[in-house]
Parts: sequence; structure tokens; C-alpha cells
Amino acid sequence: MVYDKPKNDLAEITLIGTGGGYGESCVIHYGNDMWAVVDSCENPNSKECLPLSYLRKIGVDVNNDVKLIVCTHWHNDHILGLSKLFSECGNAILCYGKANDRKKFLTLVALDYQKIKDEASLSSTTEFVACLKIARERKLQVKNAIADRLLIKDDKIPASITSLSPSDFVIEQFDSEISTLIKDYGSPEKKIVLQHPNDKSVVLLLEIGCHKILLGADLEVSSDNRKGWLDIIDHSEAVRNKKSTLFKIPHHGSENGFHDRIWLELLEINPIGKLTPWNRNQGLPESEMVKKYLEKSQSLFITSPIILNKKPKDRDRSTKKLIEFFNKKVFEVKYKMGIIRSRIELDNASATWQVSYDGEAFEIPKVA
Amino acid sequence: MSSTVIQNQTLIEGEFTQNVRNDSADRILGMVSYFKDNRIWDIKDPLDNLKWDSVNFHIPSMSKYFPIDYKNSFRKSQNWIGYVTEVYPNSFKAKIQDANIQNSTYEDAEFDFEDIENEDKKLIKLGNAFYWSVGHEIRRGTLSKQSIIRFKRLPKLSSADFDEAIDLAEDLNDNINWD
Repeated sequence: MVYDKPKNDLAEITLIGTGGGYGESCVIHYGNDMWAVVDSCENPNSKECLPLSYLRKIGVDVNNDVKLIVCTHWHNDHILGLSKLFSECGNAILCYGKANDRKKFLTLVALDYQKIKDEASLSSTTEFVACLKIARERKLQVKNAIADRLLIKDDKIPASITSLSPSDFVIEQFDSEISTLIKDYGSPEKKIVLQHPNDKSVVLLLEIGCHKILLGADLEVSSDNRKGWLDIIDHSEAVRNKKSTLFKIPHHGSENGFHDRIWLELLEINPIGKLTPWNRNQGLPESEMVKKYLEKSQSLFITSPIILNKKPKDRDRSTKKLIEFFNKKVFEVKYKMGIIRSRIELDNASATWQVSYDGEAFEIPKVA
Repeated sequence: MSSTVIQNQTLIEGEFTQNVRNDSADRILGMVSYFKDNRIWDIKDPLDNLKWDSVNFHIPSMSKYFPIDYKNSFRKSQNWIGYVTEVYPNSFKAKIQDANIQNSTYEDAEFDFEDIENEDKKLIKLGNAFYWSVGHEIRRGTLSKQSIIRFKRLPKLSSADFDEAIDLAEDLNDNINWD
């Protein structure tokens, strides 16, 4: 893959993955040197912010040309390095999922920050507060994503980015969750643990020139159509009759991120599919789901292999023996960085996506 | 006043007043259990009359809290800071980060409840932090393997902490250009 900046009339959607655990990010060129970044991830060995490094490597003026940064949800594997990215992108609007009672939400965040601010490397709260402090200094807009909200628009290209979630119902549930968490906060041992953060994920519809792209974040399917993918399918006006040709498959290709109606009603037949694996616990995606996604996609790309045989971290022999003596269930979460880049001519409706990849990324072959 | 020697550090038992910078004061309060010099230190009784620029604290006898006699040599240790990620009936899973090398990959680990001291079992909750240390101890000339897991005691927020948090929330609410 050649690391070059796309021409003004090319759209680019680049997925960066780390193998699970160190995050994922999507870098978007929506024409005319205008960029957006969705989520952030880090190299654990250098703490380098990967979307920032990618943008710099291809020669983007990050300070001026990144217009929007979206935090899809408050999970460590989507937020690591976000404040570093935001601090370098001086013109970017920050966007995250809405809480109705903003003041109460900020109080909860500030209380948690007060308790754990010495654990910067491990806390998404610290990262989030750092972003808000930058926004405060810059006086730049902070937007809250909700269902069917236009986040950014450029009429010249034309291009737009619209959030399709979280739903009103999920936001109401979150308000009640915040109230409970604040009430329980007095105990010294209490830490904030959000319930079902994936439900609050921000799914994005990108309309760039003649093309539509769906970025699925970590949104899952619920049997209740007031939330998750069924809410989007049944209630979204923004996505009605707009089928995407490129899909960032949600939640590492898990079974609970799949529904036939997503592929029938929100996507063109045989779109390009991209996903990141989750190499923790049992690992995602499972082989049955890979088969399913292969059947539904024209081509399916993944940022790194799914690692099933986990191993202990490489250390000197005596330390390894010592660890094994006390605990045989200690396994390294491998860092496996991969990049999948897709480009397409903005104003050519019959153009097809040109996909290239680097690092650990590869196209999953269709089995005969 | 007696003293306990830990490698090259002298830890004196007793009551102290120490002038410290704000961030150090915060650290002392925040890390009721913490790592220093390849050890888990466990100061359990910080006094209540704390000020930002002056900390009165009490360091209890280490032997009261540690199964290991620190007067003996403890060598070749590997330390982690961990966070509970899943809790099962008799075990829990955690994400653990090497405390010796900060910039490195982390590990997933599973621990049995029986490996946790009774007084720490109540702290096995989602998101809670702990320290894990393994090493060799030489005691009266005999080498033995040691593993210590101690859960972190989060400090109770003082009224000053609460005020600071409320101020931060109001500041962010009032001074960000919300759309």
C-alpha cells in the first residue's frame, strides 16, 4: 500500500485495527482535503496515536483539515489516544453520544475523574475529561450524537455525516443510569461501570458524492426495537432508502451485531465488508459468523488474524516459570496493527471501491 | 519508634507530618496500596486531618499487614496493576498491565478466589484495581516463591475533592461551546 494523500475528488475510508484491546479507528476523507476521524487507538508499546500517525504519514495537515472527531462510545478500545488526536486537530468538532441532563452527566464524569486521575493510562474517564478540557480552551463546538442528526455537511462536494444512534429510548435509559450511579457514588470503593455501553454506540451514515457508507461502531441487535439496530431499521428517516456499498461491520463481527435486515435494508447487495477482530476471551468473529459475512459481502477484509491459541508474554525463563507456578491463566493480548484503506471516485456512481491494506490486515478468502 | 528496612528504603513506623506538593499529597491519599521499589506498600490508615499542602499520615507496622517478612530479601520480582473485568462464582478475570514496563502490551489473567486474602474478597468487583507481585524470597537462607495480590483501596472523596469535582463539572458545562 502506498502511503499517499488522496486527490480531492476521491473519498477514503480507512479502518485501523490493533487486534482487539488497543482500539480501532476509522479515518475518513470526504473530499477536498476534509477529514473526519471516528474513535481512536494506540500502539501499546509506544503510546503512539494510530489515526494521528496515519494522517501525518500521508501528509494531511491535521491541525486545519480534520473537521470532525467522533467518539462512538465510552470503551477503552475506542477512546485510547483520543485526547492526543483532538489536541493536534485544532479545527475539529468533537462529537459523542448524548446525555439529556448534561450537567448531571458531567458531574458523574468529574467525580470519577477525581477518584482515578492518577490512573491515566487505564481510564477512559481521564481520556474523556482531557478532551473536554481541550474543547473548553478552544471554544470549539462539541456536538452530541443522537438518532438522525446531521453532524457535518458540505454542499460543494456534496458530503454529509449523520449519526443514526443512540436512540431516544437509550438516552432516557442512560439518564436514569447516571442518576443511580451518582446516588451510589459515596462508597470509597465504588467505581463507575457503565451498563451496556455498546447500546449507546454512535452509528454513522456517510454520504460522500454518489456513495454511501455505513460505520457500525459496536452497536448490537436487541429484540426491543427502541434500541440497537432494529431502532435504526424501523425508525430512522435519515437512512430510509439509502443503501451503503461499504460497511464497517459492528462489534468485531459478533453474532449479536448481526441481523439479516441490516444487510437487506441498509446495504446494497454484496457490499465491501471491513472489520476488526477481538482477540480476548473466546475471540471474535467466530468462524460461523465469518462464513455468514463472507456470503453477504463482495469482499471481506479484517485488520489482523483471529488469534485462538493464546500464549504467555515473552519474558526471561525464570520469570515465566515463576508466573506459571502461581497462575497458568496469564496470556498476552497481542498487538497486531493492520490498516484497510478503500478509495472511490466521489462523483462517479458506477465507480467501485479500490481496497488496499497493510500491516497484519488481509482479505478473508471465500472458501469454495 | 522502630524502623523496617526494605531494600535501601527505610520505612519508619509512627505518626508523621510531611510537607508535600499537592500532587504528592493526592498520590499518598489515592494509593492506599501502591507500588514503590518493587513492593506493594499498604498504608491503610491515613489520618483524616489532611490538608493539601501538609499531610499527616500514619505508617503502621508492615508485618501487621503483610504475609511476607520484609526484613528478609525479596528478589527478582514481577509486578502488575490489574483491573477486574469479569466476575464468576469462584474466580475472576482481569486485565493486567506490567508495572515494571509501562509501555507494553497488557495481559489477560484469571484468578481463583482462594488466591485472594479474605479481607480483600469483598473488593472483587467489576472495575476494581489490584496489585499483583511475584518473586523469590530468601528467608533464613532458604529460597521460596512468593505471590501477593492486594486490592487497591480507593480513597473516600473529601469535601475538597467533591468541591473540585463539582467545580470542574460546572466549568465544563458553562465554558464549552455546546451545540
